[in-house]
Amino acid sequence: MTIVAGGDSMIWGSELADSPHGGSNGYSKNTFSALLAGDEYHCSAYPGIGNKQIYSRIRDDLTRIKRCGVIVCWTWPSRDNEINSDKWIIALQTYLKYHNYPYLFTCVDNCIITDNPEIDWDSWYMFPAGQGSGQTETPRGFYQWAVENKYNIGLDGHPLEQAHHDAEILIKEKFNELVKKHY
Amino acid sequence: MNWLKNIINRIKLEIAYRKKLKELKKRDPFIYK
Repeated sequence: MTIVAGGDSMIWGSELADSPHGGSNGYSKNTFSALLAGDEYHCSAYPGIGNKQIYSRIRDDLTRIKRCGVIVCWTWPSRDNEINSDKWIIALQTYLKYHNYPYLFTCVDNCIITDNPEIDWDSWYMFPAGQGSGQTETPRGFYQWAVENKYNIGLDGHPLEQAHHDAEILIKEKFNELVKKHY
Repeated sequence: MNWLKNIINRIKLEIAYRKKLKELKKRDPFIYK
């Protein structure tokens, strides 16, 4: 079964050594989403996009790829000039549930988390809260977790290979439970 | 005077919304810089 991954530059793998460019098929296979997926992987992510486009790109790709699991790393809501992205999250969640696609959501930053009861938060993976001074004290997004744990960061600010490798290990159990066991 | 109160409340909400959006934009290091 193919895993379709949605997100922005974090899921594209900008600044990872095996991502040669931002053009067609220039995405990395060393992001945490690609590592979780294994060989059958399709990247719907693209650098710099907002959550509205993350939603649209996944929807478009799912019309072509019928049997698959989905992982989405939502980005900052402000890219769409919105203070939350609930409508895109709920729209995709509804579509995935209706069509029985196994899925897992996560995010780059926990500012996307709201108290909206329509969102099925049990289908989310959040990175553990920080414990050091100045760290985020609530469950974090991938970018917050990587930066606050001082993983190597590229010149343009993207977490590099080690962060993705360790993120894969953290997410794996929940990903297997929500996505892989439904293969 | 209700219409005036409504307008003032709408303006207050809009200002709060824009302030929140500005704060959120600062959290995105890939767009804001």
